[in-house]
Amino acid sequence: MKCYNCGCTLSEDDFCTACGADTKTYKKIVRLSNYYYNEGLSKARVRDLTGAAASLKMSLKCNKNNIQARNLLGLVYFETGEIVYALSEWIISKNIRPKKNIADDFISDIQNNQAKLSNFDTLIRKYNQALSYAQHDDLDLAVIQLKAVVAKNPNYMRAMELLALIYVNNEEWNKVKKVTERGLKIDAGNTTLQTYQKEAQIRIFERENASGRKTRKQKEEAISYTSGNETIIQPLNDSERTGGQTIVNIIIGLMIGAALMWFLVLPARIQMARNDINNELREVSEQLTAKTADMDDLNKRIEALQEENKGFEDRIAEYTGEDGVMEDYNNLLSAAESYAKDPDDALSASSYLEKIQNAEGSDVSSEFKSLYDYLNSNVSAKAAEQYLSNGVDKYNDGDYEGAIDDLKEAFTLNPQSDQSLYYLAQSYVKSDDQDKAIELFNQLITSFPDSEYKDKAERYVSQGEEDNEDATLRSTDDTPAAQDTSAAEQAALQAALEAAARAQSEAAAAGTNVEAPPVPAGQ
Amino acid sequence: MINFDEELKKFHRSLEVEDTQDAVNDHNEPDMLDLLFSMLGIKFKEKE
Repeated sequence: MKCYNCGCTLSEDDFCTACGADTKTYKKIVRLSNYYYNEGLSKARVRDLTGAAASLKMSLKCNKNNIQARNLLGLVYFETGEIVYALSEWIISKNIRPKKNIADDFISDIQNNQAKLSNFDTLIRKYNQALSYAQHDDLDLAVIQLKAVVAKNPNYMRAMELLALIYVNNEEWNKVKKVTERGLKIDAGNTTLQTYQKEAQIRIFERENASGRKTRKQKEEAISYTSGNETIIQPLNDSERTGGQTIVNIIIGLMIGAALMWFLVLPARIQMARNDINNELREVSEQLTAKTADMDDLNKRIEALQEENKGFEDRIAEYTGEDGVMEDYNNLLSAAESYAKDPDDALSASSYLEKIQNAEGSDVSSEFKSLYDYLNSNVSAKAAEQYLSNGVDKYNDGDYEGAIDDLKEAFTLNPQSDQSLYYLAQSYVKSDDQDKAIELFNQLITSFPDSEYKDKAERYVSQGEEDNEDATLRSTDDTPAAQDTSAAEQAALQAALEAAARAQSEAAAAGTNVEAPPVPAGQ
Repeated sequence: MINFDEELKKFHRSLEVEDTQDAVNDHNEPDMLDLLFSMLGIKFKEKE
């Protein structure tokens, strides 16, 4: 102990041997502080934390610089869940003695574990919330909050006390007993919990007393006597057992055993077997589902491939079918060949040209188009003339059906030929198809107003006057005269033929590049 | 018999961690030695 005046170590005397200051009262106060500290320490050792806190507070009231008392008080607060008070005591302790102070370690432990500190803070907030609920009669919500707090920090005495109080209010005495027992294990000197526990014990005793009177009455009726050190109680209504009764008991026991087997063991076995079967069924079902899914996928792939195959077949048909590009090329080449062999045989070349379906389509090449146009321009006029000539000859010979066919062709190839139209109408007149004849005459009157045949047509339409004269061909027809193929045209035709042949081979190659099934040679 | 309302009044809001500084500042109450020294009119000089 140091002198408060000069700081020297004091002796057993009541004054300072160095400065002579009176230290009697000073020593008494310091000793009193130490006494309370020792008392607090003793109480803390037996977990009387409330008592320890009271003693330590007294110690600090005597001497607020008693570092040990302050540190222990902080520790007691910490143990009862009062983190803030514990921290404040340790911080003050550290301010008083900055070095060689165990409070430094306590503070460091808490500050270095921020998660723990945050957890403490959360629990304090929850407790405050629960208190608010309790003050506003929301006891159910308060209980829920307090249960959560106590579950996370079982040392938080404040929360434990409030929870016990709410249970007291709800007259849930068993819960009060349970909570207070838990709390008193941590703080044996907690008077609040002790009060609640005592109340709970009284209530539980009263309840048990009320319900247990009948039982006790029966017990009192039992005959008991003392033999030496032992108290013997004779059972009520216990008659002496006979041999037959034993056999009956054994039989009853066996029956009970069989019943147990039947009602407990057997159903369990059956349930196990069912579970096994269900598991197997589930596995098989899962496998089946997986297989079905695989099959669906495969079917979809097959459908997709079939559609793709159909697309390819359609494309091949576009090239190799009757109306395909290949057929058009063949017809064009045949027409060109026929025209090259005999330029005057326009009918033959024209018949091939008529078979070409896609002369203007995008599938044909430019060479194809140029050759087609060339042949068409040269052959059509000549063919029209030949058809007209043939038709006129057949008309004059009385073969009106043949004349109609030829003249139809002639007019189709050269729609500007009024002569073809007139003799076609005449052929219908001679074939007794008056309606068709009048229709064609009207067409002639409308389409060719300057035609030399207009008057005859009008006379027939208005008066039914037939023209019975033989048909004659006009020497100067509107249709272009047949032209001789010059050497230059022959050369151009040759070049176009080669180009068409090349285009045909390219088209054939394109048709085979799509992995189509082989096309029969005859196609 | 425990009176719930009376008992509840004994419970107070717990200080949160952020209130630690306030709790430290509230600890400036004088102790018995302070009273003694103020009566004697001297200053405490205990050496560490």
